Order: sequence, then C-alpha cells, then structure tokens
Amino acid sequence: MWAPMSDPSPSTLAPERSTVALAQVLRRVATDPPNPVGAEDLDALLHLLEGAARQAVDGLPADALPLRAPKAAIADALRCPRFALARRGLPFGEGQPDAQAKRRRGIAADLLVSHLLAGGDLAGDPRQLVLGAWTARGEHDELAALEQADDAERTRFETDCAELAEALRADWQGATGLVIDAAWWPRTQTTATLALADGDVLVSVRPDVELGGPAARLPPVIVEVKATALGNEHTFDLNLYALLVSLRDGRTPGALLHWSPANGWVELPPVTADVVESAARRLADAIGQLGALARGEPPQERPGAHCAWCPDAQVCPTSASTGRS
Amino acid sequence: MIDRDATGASVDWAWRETLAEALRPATARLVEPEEHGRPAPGAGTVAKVEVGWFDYARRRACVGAQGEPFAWSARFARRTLGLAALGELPAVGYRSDRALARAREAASDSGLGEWLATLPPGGVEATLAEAATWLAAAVAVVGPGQVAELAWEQPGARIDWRAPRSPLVLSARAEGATSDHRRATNLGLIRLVDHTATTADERSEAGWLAVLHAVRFGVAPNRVIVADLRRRRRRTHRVDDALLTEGVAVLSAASADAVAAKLGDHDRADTVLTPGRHCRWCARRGVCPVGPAE
Repeated sequence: MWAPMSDPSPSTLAPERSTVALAQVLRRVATDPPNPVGAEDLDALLHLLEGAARQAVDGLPADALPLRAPKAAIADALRCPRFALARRGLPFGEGQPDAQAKRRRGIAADLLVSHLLAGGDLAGDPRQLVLGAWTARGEHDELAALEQADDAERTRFETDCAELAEALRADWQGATGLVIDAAWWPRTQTTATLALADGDVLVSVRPDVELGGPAARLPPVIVEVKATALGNEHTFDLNLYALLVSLRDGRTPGALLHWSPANGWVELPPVTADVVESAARRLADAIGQLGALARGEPPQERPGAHCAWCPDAQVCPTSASTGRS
Repeated sequence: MIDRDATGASVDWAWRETLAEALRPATARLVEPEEHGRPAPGAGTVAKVEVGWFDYARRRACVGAQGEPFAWSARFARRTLGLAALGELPAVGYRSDRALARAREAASDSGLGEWLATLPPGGVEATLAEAATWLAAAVAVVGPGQVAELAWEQPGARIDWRAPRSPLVLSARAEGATSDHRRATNLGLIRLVDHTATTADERSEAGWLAVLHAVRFGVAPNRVIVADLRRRRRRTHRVDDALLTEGVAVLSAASADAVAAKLGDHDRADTVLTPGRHCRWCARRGVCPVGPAE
C-alpha cells in the first residue's frame, strides 16, 4: 500500500536520496495537483460526523461538555476504549522509562523539524537546539524531567537528537539548503479543529508540518514526522489530518507524506473520496466511544499490541500482555 | 444610541457615561471615601485593577483561578510577531519568511526583542516557527486577497480605558479593522482568536470589545468580526444597542469580579473552587486545596 520513494535503509542517507523525491512531489503538486474531493462529498462527511457527535453527547451532563477529541484520544479509543480510559489523565512523566524516552525522542524530532523550517538549517548541537526550543516554549516540565534523568537516559537523549539531526540534514536539505521553498509557507504544529453538535464536540488535530494551503495559494501538503519507523497507525493519523484539513480549508490535500529516520520520505496514496470517508467513519466510531466513556459506561476491551503499554494491562481480563486473551 | 443613518462617524460619549455608571458599584469598593478618615467596610486602596477578558473567563471557570505573571514565551510571541508580519506581507510579496524577518527586526528594541536576545540556541527559531504557524492561519482565515485591504494594529493590539477617578483599567483586544478607526466609517473590528469559544462567549467578547472601542474613541464599531484560526471560520457580530448593552453588562460583571479578586473575596475558606481543564494554566495549581482535575 505504501510507496517508499527510495531505499528505506537508514544506512544510505546520501543527500540525494530523499530530497530529490520530496522536491519532485512538491513540484508535481504545484504544477499538476490531483483533483480535490468535491464539496458535496465533504458535506456528506460532515453530516455523518454531526450525527455521530449528537448521538455521543446525548444525555451527557453540562459539566461533561464539550466532549474533547484530540487525535491522541481518538487513536486510543479506536485501539481500545479501556486503554483510552486508562491513559486519560495520566500525569506528566508517568509511564515506563522506555516509553518516556520514546516520547522525548518524538518531541525532539518535531522540534528539530520546526527549527529546520524556521531557521533553514540545523547548525549547532542538536541537543542544545531542543533545550533552547523548550526554554522558549516554557516547557519547564520537560527541562526538569531531563535534568532529573539518570546518565543513561541523558546519553540516550543526546544520541537520539544527534541521529535525528543527521537524518533530517540528509533528507530535508539539499546542496543549496532547505528543499522546501519559502513559497510553500512551511509551518509546524498547525491546528485543525472541528466543532460538532453546536460546539458540544470538539475534534482537534495538530499535523506536524503543513505546506501550501490558502495562505500560500498552493494545494495543501501534510507531513507526519515520526522518530520511529512507519506503522499502520500512522496511515490513519495522516488520513485523519487530511479529513480535518479538508473540512477546515474546503480543499483536500494534494499529497500526504510521512518522514522518519528509518524510512525517509514515504508518500501515501492520493487523498480520494474513499480515503476521507474511511477516516470519517473511524472518527465517528471514536466519537461514539468517547461519548460512552464520558457517560460512565463500562469500556469495551479490544486487546492488541497496545496492551504492552496500557496502564490497566495487569488488571484487564482481556489484556493481550497477560496472556489471558 | 447608535445613529446608523449618519454618513460619517460622529463622536458620541453616551456609552462612556453608561459604562461608568454600570461600574460604579465596583469602583466604589476601590476608593476611600473622602468624607471619612478611613476606608469604608469592604473598601480597599489599590493602585491598579486590570480587567481583561481572559482573566474573567478564567475566573468564571473557577473563582480561585489565577494567571501566571506575564512572561514572554513562544506562545505569546507568536501573536505579536505574526500580527506585525501580517502588516508587512504586502510589502514583501506575501513571503512569510521575509515578513517575519521584518517583524523580528521591528521588535528588536521592545521587551519582546530583549527576550528573544536572551534565548539559548534554538529558542529564536522555535518562536519564529510558532509565529509562522500563526501567520499562515491568520492569512488563511482572513483571505490572502483581503490582507492588504485591512488595517492591522501594531503591536500590542489592545484598547485600554481607565474608569473615571478609579484604578480600574479595562482592556480589550482587536487585531485589525476594516478601516482606520480614527475615521471610523462603516467600521468593523477584527479579532483573530486561536482558541475555541462557544457562540455565547464569542458574542460576549464582541460586545466587550465594541463597548470599549466606543468609550475609548467615542465611536461604536458597526460590526465585530471574529476569525477563528483553528476552524478557519469567520463570524460577524452586528453591533447594535442590544450587543452594546450586553457588553456593558459583561464588563460590569467582570469588573466586580476583578475587584473581588483583588480584595481577596475569593480567598476565603468557604470559597467553592472548581477543578477542571483550566487547572493546568492556573498559577495556584501547586497550592490549591482542591487540586487539579483528574
């Protein structure tokens, strides 16, 4: 299903490997964009989601509103409603050290991409660049957590930053600098919010990178940046972004791209009516599950790989990680 | 009170008098009675009480909520830099990177510029990245073709008004206008918001802004346009007597609340605190007896 644009081996990070492909994708989208999904199709999806949202909040007390559905909650609810409930409200820093390290690596990837797009290069110590970004953003919890981490964790963080920066330089920069021209208005951590049921349900996502769009007068392009290798769930993430950006801007993206150090650039299949409809149906399912959780209904249990990092794994009767499923 | 048949805007201070009257119960608590040698019961002497929409909204969620003292961060800087860049866009061929570079240069002598200069490596780029995101969303919701047609406020984008003979200072935000507000014919004020508000709250804030514009400049706007950066949606609130009257009521309630907070009314042991999502931004979350919401 995926179409890797080049050899995904991380040992072949030659500058030409991915940057050429990215430039080709952007050129193609700018000069020969795919036909966007029609407005009537998007309206039908909005109608579908409105129905799901109104059903989800039916009977909910006022203090439970608005029902918020950020991407993480949507993804968790689709994996397993019990998992979503167990993870909700987990305080900052809770969880296994390995999960914390992975989370920190993911944030570092996002911040280094932001730095690259805003500054044009990644000169300097990448670990310091991440710390500087946290300082500017007032992320005191992150800085304190790293300060309190042991030597092994700090070394791992430094190694992660260095590895990510090397891969980013190789894949996002060419001989003359950043591959993405400023005319694309590159920006990071954008927001697309959809208010449903008269604002009682708020769905929101934050694509890692957006290019083009109304301000740039170019078709939108969405990039998901991951510090880990491409997984099936990332496809849904990108399709969900495509749906919400389409509903926000009234135009479907011209391309969906995934980038990770392991896989380099990967372009997902074109955003067709089927793609956004599939995302909308899954989103409707998630909204329904989140509504049921808000009403205090017993959560469904759907064992799977996520059981490995579920806070309820040891007490859940169907958890895959306990071998009782 | 509003004469919409007038061909040009005429100055009218009627709303100033209306608001001053509505604020009297709140301002009375802050002024020492001149005829007595000591403050009346419940009265306090304070240098300044600021009344802003965000503090009011925060305390409606929980009366004990308190904002952190202002300190620059990328989150605050994105609006200031983005707004300055919005005004620069037509002059730099609608290139966001160039507009932001100009905005940064223009801020060099300000508090923002001083803060940027203190940031460690990576801090400035993180801030510019936030501003680039804000700017693109603002242009998208305003419409690229409209940017040059509108007037963008620089850089504080605030309207302040001090209640007569009182330390009460009421403020509102407006990022832009459909024309120069000093000429103010067919005036529309523009709010660019990057938070999601209910329709009722949005209307309340529109009334708040319209009233403060009327009392500060003597001219009520014809409409307030709220542009939601996250949803890319614009909603126009027509300014009529009903909206202005609502605005006065909200400003009055917010002023009473701000004075009560300043005088410690909300710090009593029997104050009912309401935990919720807002706890994460509360300066008192570490000492709150109720504690953050689960």
